Amino acid sequence: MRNKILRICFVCLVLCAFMIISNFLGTILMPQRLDYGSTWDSYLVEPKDSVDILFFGSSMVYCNVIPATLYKNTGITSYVMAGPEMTIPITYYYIREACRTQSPKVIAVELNGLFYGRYTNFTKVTVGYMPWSANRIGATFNAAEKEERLGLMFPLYNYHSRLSEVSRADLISHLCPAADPYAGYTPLSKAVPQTEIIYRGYRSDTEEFARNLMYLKKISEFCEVNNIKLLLYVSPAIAQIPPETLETMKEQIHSWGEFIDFNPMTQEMQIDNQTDWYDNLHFNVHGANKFTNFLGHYLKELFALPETVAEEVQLWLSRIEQIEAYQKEAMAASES
Amino acid sequence: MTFNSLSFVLFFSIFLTLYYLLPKKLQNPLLLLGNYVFYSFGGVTAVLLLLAGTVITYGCGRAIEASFCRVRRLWLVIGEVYMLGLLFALKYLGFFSSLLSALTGAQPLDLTGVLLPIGISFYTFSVSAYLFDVYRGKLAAERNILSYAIFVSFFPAILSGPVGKAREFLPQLQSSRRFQLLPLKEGLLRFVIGCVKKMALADRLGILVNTAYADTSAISGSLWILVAIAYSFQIYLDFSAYSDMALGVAKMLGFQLTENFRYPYNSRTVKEFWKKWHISLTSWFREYLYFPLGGSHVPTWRCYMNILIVFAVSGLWHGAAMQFIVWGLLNGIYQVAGELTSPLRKKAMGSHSRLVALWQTLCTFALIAVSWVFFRATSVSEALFILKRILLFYRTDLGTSSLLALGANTRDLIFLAVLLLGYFIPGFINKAGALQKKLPSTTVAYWLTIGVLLLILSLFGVYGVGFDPQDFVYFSF
Repeated sequence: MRNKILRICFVCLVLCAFMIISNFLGTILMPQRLDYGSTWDSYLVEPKDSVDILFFGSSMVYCNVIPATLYKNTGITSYVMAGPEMTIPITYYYIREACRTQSPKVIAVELNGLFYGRYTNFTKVTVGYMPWSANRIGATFNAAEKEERLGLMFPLYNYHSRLSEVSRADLISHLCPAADPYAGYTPLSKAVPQTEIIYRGYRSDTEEFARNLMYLKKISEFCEVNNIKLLLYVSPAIAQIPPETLETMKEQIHSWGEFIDFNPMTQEMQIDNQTDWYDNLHFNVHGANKFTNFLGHYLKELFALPETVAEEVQLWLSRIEQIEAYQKEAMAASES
Repeated sequence: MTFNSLSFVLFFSIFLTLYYLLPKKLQNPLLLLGNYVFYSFGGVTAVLLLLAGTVITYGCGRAIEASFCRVRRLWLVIGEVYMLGLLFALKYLGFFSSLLSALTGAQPLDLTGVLLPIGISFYTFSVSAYLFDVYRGKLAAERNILSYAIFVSFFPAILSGPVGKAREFLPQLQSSRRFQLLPLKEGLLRFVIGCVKKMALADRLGILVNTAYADTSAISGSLWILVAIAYSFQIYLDFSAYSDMALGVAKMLGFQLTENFRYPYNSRTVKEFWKKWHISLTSWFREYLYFPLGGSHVPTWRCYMNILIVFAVSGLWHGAAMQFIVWGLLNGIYQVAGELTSPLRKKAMGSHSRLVALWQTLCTFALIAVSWVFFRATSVSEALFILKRILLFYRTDLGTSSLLALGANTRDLIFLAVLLLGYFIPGFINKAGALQKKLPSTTVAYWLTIGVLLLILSLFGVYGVGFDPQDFVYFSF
């Protein structure tokens, strides 16, 4: 009997070892992710409890908010933990996961995600790069397409073909990740002049909107329980949410957090439609700089945030240096 | 549903659990149900044809046994004509119609929309052999229609063999199959090895081969030699992998099926090769075509004629196209030439030296590899083009000689080489068979081996995103 039990235990051990090793191999075979959102490897090496504001949402966050600029102007540390076309349900799991290593005073969620469909094109990235945890499993089974679940639970399924092309840089980024010099921001230099405002076909009477609202409420409840202030904001864009839809949305969410639509304030931000846009949804580095300046002061006043007592000042100073160098280069390129 | 799919793993896990949990008297009905559930993935028409064939040939078998003289023969003919006629209609009518049209100028039959039910070539032969055995008195007609239906539709073998012999299978249905750990472990190991052979080896070779065959003129003669070798290994690994999986699944269910391969490329003559390759089909042709034609108990010239007929029919069985007939005939010619030159070769080389054995093995492999070129090509002219290129292997102006033109990068090729060596070397020194027999009786070594094999499968298998998983080669037959 004892031998039988030992044998069964050994078999279970081997199967567990197989799962762990294969998932480890699957994870390190994934392409390195250093920008364009879902940069979890870098986020997890950020010094613990050193970030006061966490930003979540889609590319309209990781292209528009520069944590280094925010720190430079306000002394407040922040991090962008957004993902490409990230839906609100996945944002919910991101928030839960991000708060395991940080204790932010404010969480800012960009609201265009309320109008995304149930599944967008990047679930494999947004959920696939999450660290292994109950939140990742929750996101896999509650917010990912059925056909993606196998690859998300078993990354080798998606990435074993990379065995023939995985580079040293990929392996190093997974095994020895470095802090992100941009703290989750992705700088864009191209300037595409924009003309008039257009309205996207967003509606608030869809099943998906109702589902996204439900998850936004869960985000609000999470923040309340954890004593975190919640900012629900609409990022400036040329392609905007239709005014009626925006009003309906505002009515439904106003009690869940501080709501602000930054679109009417672009003049105050001194946004130049000729030079500050990458496309009709995203700022380039110049526009992002102006927006972040404005956003930082706004947040500091709204939430009466003190300057962060950052132990890792050197890290933030180097980030400021990095972004300023990028801005200079972008400026020089546009002038030439 | 193929063996190397998650849906099969799920299906079989549930099925196997019920199989051993349910009372013994329900085991066979469950097995029949499982067979039809498995086969139902081939479509309703396929299931109905299988059912019809089962009922008709069961009736014919009973009638043969109950009748006398000419009436017995009549029932045999009815059963054989129905099964072989159906196979002919579904598989060969289009081919012969086109052939006739090419010869006479008549309009060929429009048979678009006529689909070949998967596995029909295999179960037709199993059933056909059963009727012959009953007719010849070698086997009593099965009275239990349930047992007979299980034999015809046995899911581990129905899609790609081994071609079952009723006199070997039916008695196994009568004995109770209790849960025993050792056969289960043996079957599982064999199944996993089959999966690795198919997905990590055969399908990876398939990538190189398919790339070459997609544009035959782009590849140089020297590279075509490598492609021909690669295909020789691909088809062996692919088909033997299926057999491994089939035998492994059958073993887990408590059944012993015929071995289909015995290291065929380790053969010194083509004759020896055909004793070790697709053994179940070769023995079917020997017993039900070659021997009835007279076998070797006829004048020599007729014996050679019989060999050519058997191989031509074997080629035709594989596919309704000229290149398969040429492939079959070529193997027949090899065998006849081998018989004719055997005394001369023995005199010239003797047969005891290891070097001679190696030389003969390599020559046999080369001959077989040349015949596989016809097997893989989409037409006789394509095969001849490739062989012509191979003969002009020294011409560097005819296509690229770069291995990287075969759809794989350097790392892929290194992995493939290591995996192939890792598979063939133990087999070559005959250790693999011995190890495979010993492992299931251990615990630690066995489960570690399973774990390592699953890891190899996960890392190197052709599945999922980034790959186009290949069907088993023999599914199309």
